[in-house]
Amino acid sequence: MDWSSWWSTYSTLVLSIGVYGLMAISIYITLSCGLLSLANAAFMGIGSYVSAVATMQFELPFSLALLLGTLTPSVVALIIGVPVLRLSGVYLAMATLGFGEVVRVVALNLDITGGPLGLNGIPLLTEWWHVLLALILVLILLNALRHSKIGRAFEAIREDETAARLMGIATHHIKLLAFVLGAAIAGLAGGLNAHYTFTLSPGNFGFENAVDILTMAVLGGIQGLIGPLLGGAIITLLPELLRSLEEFRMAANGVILIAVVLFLPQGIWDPRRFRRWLKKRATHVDA
Amino acid sequence: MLAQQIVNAISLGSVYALFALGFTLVFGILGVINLSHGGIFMLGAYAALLLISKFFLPFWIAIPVAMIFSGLVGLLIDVLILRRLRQRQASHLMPMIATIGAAILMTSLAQGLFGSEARRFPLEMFNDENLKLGNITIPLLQAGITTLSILLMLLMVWVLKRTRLGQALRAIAESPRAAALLGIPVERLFYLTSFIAAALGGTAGILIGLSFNAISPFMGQPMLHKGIAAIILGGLGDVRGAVLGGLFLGVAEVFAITFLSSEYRDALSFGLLFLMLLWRPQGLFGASATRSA
Amino acid sequence: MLTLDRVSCHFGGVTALDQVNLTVLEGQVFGLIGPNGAGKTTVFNLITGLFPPSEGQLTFQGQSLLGLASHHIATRGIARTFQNIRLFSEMTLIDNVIVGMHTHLNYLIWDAVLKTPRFRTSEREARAQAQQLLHRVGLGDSPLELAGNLSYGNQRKLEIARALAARPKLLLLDEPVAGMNATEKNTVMALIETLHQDQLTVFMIEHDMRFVMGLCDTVAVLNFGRIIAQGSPSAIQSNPAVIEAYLGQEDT
Repeated sequence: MDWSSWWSTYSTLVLSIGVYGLMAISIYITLSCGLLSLANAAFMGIGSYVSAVATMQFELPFSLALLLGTLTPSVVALIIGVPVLRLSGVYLAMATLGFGEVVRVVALNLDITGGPLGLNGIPLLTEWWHVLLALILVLILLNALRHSKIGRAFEAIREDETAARLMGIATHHIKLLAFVLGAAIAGLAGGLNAHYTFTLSPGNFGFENAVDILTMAVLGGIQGLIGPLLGGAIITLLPELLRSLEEFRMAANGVILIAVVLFLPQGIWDPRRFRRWLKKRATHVDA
Repeated sequence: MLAQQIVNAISLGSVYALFALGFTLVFGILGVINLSHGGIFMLGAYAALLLISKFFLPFWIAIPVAMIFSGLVGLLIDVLILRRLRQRQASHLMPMIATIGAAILMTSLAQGLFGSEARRFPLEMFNDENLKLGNITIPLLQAGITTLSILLMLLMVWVLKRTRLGQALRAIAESPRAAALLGIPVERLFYLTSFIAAALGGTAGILIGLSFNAISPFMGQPMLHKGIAAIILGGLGDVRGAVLGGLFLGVAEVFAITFLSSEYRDALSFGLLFLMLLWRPQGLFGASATRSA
Repeated sequence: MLTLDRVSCHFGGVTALDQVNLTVLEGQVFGLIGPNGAGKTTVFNLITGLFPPSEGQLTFQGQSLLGLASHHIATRGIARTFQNIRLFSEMTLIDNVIVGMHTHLNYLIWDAVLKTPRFRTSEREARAQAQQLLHRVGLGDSPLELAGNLSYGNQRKLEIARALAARPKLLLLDEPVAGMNATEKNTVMALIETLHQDQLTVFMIEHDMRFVMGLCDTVAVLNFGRIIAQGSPSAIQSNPAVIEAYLGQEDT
């Protein structure tokens, strides 16, 4: 099979791996700050709709549409983050799930989003290098943050919020930053996604999607940036790999979720486990 | 007209309340959000359907058997998943994710075994009898559903408030460690709670299946959303709150369909939930907002 | 430097603190002792803003602390350790200490993203200072070890290093030597003495009498939420009310 026919068959899949890698990273940010937020699917939806409407109805250039698709969910996150982030644990999970459902129903009932039919005929503007560039930029940004006071504050808050606050960390500002950053990346991923899938409908951003994104991060592991990327790729490829299971294909997803929680609670990519392995091997060699 | 709607609302609300009761029981006593409760709800409905349409069992046998079956599914999830996470003292995220996995698994199995399209009870078995109260007509079936769910709820409340078992369960809800020190068999009561909660969830599934006469693999998810909304409205872990939250949700939905439009019905539960969390995150009856579960 | 003026604290119907007056002077090593459950940690929780007092006034360097968020109080120059150790156990020793410096790293997000000279110098200096602090508490050998792997005594030392990283004016130590062996106690004692020589004000809660009496210039005794005595260590040791409070404790 030559390159162009391979690409025409698999381009959507490849782009999806990148886009869902971004989504997994967006939820990783909030998780790394100890926030169990399930709003990222909704932020992705907002980003998708805003950028698709921007290119379709207002005929804005793609770059500007992506920018709007990134900024709008960030602003929404900023507004709802102030009250919502007072909650923690399961309360936060439920509230963000509730927010997601509200967004879905709003999209279902607005004219500009095409109601239940959604949007069709979105121009195919996303090139492979757009996704790659977005991934690289996001990774550079987050890697820099991880090794700064911001990243340490995220980790401190995740481990012990009270202790972090007593170190002088303005915990609610930092949590809001994580929430908004997650929303921005989800929005960007949504904008990219909308411009290669051709169609958008409110159902794409519901509970199932929120769960899928969470699965990616948990499966990959949230000890670093590689885990979520890996998880995103696996969950995106899985339906293709399990095609032969037909109706029972989703069952595999369920089994994987359970198995990861039970047997790999740190996810697949767990640098600490790798280090332990290395140590073990080293001592074997010594002996 | 209005009176008729009130009857419908109470009927729907009482089934929601029954579902939410099981859901909140698990949170109150085990301290976990069991997101497979919707899947159990769906399996309960299928179990009753099979017993009636394939094994030709009469109603009064099929319903209790399906209840026990749902309870066993819940017990199985506890033994296979939740117990291990308890032993590991995993964070609250872990049981949520694992039970989402269980829910996906159940939905997918049901889809594979029974197909995606909605199935029906052979309702010829009910003659369309109606109760007449003044100018309100209540189909006998609806009256039966409402009565059964209210009876089950009263039974649960009685068990929790008046029996030694209930006392032990309340002690565990307060603090499992203290309860264990008092000699309460905490682990066994965790199993029992999972069983009872799932049996109630499965029963709600049977009753919703009967009242809308449509059973599908996907019926669990929307119900789970309603359950979440109901228990948060009432206050997580609070039995009284879950019952009132469920009833309230039923009433709100019926009136939303009557006076707004049906599209907004599904948004209603989560819209309410969202507002509630912003205004009073501990719910109507919850004691503390800062309890991070 | 720090004053508590008729501070009371009620939880539900229980009175944890009742009209407590305390004054910690600049440069002092101040000790707060008392039987278990007397409300000592509550005093620290009020000072650090974890919850507000039911009544009374808290002032630090002449300014009221009431209504300030915890992280603002920390920025004013109050750092603390915890009775039940609260380290970031999944982080390395050195990162724990650098988190303590959070408010002194005054680069912006953009500096971190663009790796500006300001970011680089400030991170480099922070790392060097953190390493020094680790040395100072005797943990300088393995800065990249995870905090959770430390022994109990070393975790307490790391908490002190983390609190010092904030460059506090007032250091609150909640049972700094609880669970330590005699050697460890002596190193912590020596450490606090050097802090005292550096003019740092220390306010500690401790059960170990030898430790408190050896270090503190003023000691206050809290019993059932009330201050029953205050004065020099020798005066406290011979105070009949104090002796009774402790004897009464032993009876039960």
